Amino acid sequence: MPSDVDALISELLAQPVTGEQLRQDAPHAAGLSTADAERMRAHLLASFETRGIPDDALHVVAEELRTSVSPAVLAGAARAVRSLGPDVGAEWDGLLRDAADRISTADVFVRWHPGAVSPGWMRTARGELLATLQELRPAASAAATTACEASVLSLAPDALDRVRLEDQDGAVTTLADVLTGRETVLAFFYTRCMNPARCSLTITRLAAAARAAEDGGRAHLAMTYDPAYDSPARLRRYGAERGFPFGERARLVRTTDAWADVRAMFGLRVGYGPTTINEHARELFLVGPGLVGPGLVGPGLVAPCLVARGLDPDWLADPVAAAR
Amino acid sequence: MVRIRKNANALTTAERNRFLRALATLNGSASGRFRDFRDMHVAGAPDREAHGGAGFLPWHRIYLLDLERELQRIDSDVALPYWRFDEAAPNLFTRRFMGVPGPQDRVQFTSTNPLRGWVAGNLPGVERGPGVGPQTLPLVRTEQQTLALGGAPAADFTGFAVMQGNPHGRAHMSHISGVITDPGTAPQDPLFFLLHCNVDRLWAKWQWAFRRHDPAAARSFATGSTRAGHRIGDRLWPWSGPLAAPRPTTAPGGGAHGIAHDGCPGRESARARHDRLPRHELIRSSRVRVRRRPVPDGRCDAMTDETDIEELRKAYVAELAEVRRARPRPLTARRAAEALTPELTEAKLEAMLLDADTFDTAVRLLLDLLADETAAVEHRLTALERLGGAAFQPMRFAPFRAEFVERLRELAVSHDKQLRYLALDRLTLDDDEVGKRLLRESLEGTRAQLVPPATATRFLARDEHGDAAPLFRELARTGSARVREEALRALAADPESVELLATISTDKAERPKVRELAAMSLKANSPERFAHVAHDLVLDEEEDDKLRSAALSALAFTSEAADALDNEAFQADLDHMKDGTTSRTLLTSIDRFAKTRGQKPPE
Repeated sequence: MPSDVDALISELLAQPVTGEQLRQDAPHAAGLSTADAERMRAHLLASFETRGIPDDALHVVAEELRTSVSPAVLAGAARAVRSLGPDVGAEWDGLLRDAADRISTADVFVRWHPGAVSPGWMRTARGELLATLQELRPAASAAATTACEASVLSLAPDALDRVRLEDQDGAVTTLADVLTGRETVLAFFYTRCMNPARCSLTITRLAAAARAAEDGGRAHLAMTYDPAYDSPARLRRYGAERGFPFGERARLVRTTDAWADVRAMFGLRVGYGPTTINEHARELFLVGPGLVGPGLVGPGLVAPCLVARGLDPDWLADPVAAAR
Repeated sequence: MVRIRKNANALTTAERNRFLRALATLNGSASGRFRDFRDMHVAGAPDREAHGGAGFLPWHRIYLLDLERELQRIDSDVALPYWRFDEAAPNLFTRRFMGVPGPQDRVQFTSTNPLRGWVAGNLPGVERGPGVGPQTLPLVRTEQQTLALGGAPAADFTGFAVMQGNPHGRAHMSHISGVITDPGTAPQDPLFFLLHCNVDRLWAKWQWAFRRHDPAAARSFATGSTRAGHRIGDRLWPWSGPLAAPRPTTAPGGGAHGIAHDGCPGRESARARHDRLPRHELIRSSRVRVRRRPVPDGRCDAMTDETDIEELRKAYVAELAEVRRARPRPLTARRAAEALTPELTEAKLEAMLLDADTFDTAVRLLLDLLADETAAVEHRLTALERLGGAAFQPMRFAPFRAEFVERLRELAVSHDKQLRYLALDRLTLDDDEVGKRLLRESLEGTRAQLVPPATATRFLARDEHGDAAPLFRELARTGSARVREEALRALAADPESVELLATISTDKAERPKVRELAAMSLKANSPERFAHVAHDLVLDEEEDDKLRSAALSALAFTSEAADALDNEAFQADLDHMKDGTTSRTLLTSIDRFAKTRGQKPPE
């Protein structure tokens, strides 16, 4: 029997899928369970096999291959890559191989149509990845397809001032206080994240960068997507287990009353199911130390603001370089 | 201090209680270092480190040692006991020790057992099937059969390592259902650590019997191992392993940060040594220590001097050689195919997974048997159990895994209720999308009931993201008694239910059992909120003594909760309470709180 999510998928696939529809915070993903959100995402990605991948979705496909542990999503990403033709390059080849290896012991058949289908007519998720790999030509030239979406955001000081934060020790401050006066690496995460290649790795790397930072250098801050669950005690334990050097310049925080504002302010790609996060991207920003005049940021701004630049989440992979 | 790992079935009461207290304290509310141990042993990339090749035995050796060191930080006298799974263990499977399975596979403990407040993952309690009771002799290879696997009198590690399937995997599956039957969830059952302690003991005894401690000797380890993480010189993830592909790129504790111990026995030692630790140190560091113990009839089952030790070893190897000669012949592919007949016997099925060279053939055959609707239900149940055991070797099982899951999805709607139950149990342990959807439809009434509603609720609660939380909130209000209990337990993962759980915990109109369940869910959900609820419960003289005792006991073993209280004032209240109560259960809990809080492990 087709479920509600099947009907939603049919509706979305009636038109060519856009990169915007793949955002984890897209309205159609709100309220879905994690499994349903992944199923929908798999179908949206798979639709690129025949329709081609829009430019603004290339990095999404690459990021899924790089970090997802969902067999369905990876199967969809594998099908999407086929639209790029056999000469897409060694980078995609590596991503596909890593993904196939990642799910080798968690493989399942992926159903693209509702109802009972014989396994003989289906491929497993790993089978989809390997089938795409077979279509690629070896030693093709590298393609710069995995560049992260760059973004520059302006953060109004009065809006930041309204965001009350609580850190891992229960100390209360505001987002304006912690961001102003120092350059800050800002990451988003949540402690219930089930994918070790996302939040756990992000905080581990952020901790390493914070340890490598010189006195008086950058601050390192991470804010939870799940403020109702991530109490100060949970934040402290999560950070401590990852060697996070807590201090004035290194904190894990939550906001209990202004989360919707923070999501909107940073345009966070995070979606919510009935209880907690159903899908999220890796989000990393570098926030400048001081106010920047309106003319330097963009049109329409009439007051000075802080500037946050979106970073490639893997920028933290080398803690020494990231600390510079 | 020399500590000896003993047979859990033979521990003294004092040894047992110390071990249980330390284990419950480490567990707490399943966060902190306990969470590390759980997260190291999960599906995905970590699974390949733990179970994906020749490193299975060394990996679990340091895993247990790491856990044991944590227990010793809590109580320095504690050593990890072992469950000898080829023998009945009447003293182990009791309510006072590892508990006995009750309704809904819920393990029952006495009111003073520290494990009564156990938190598995996000949920309170232990789920374990009814397969092993006090008198059960699990159908696994015996110790001698296991030690003869690598050959005798000359033995080879590669042959011995087959024990990963049987007895190891079979010991897990001997419980039939529950978290211990799946590699990704097994550490959620405290018995898991005792099971693996025996696996480690078997390897240590094999090393002693065949003198296989020298990592340079070809037969001590799998020299042909090529998989990263399983070669003799590789470092072990996550203790000192590299956080780079193809190994896992992250680790519980962010790599070696939270881990203060190395892989060799002894007190805490330098991190630097730990960071250099390669796998062969684990092989070298496992010499069996034999205690002097005179035996009445004059034989030695232990040693009196070096010469006797060597004689004993040789005699033992000779015994193993006899066992080796008497082993059943492995099935060839042809004979295995012939076995799939209506007259298929249990003995033939048993023979299938015996030897490495028949693994693929046997798994193929078992999958066919599982799919065969004309086969006897008991044979299909056996096939399901054997395939579950084979899944404890994930890399070997990987080519069959997707088909196994597909078969389980089919069995989830089978006409046979036992097959349905076991298929859904396994699917939800693996967080399978289809299994969860079928259960939701069953609970919501949009398809025929697949399992009783309480069971469906329990299975769905395993989803750590708590996607069915709105349904659980509804069931906690409106469900039948059993469904309601399962729903309250499931709400341990729902932050929006903190107040609901607190309200039920303190509602004197509710049954004490329900209130205790709500309180334990609250402990897992919000230890800080639980602390205040438990404080008031314990000090209310009109409350049920067992409930007060359970709350106080849970406080004692959950430092993140107890730290939220003013301990000095609370202790003074407890001292006053002690003078005024005659309840032995309560007095035990008061003493335990004072003792445990006095031995708070160092930060």
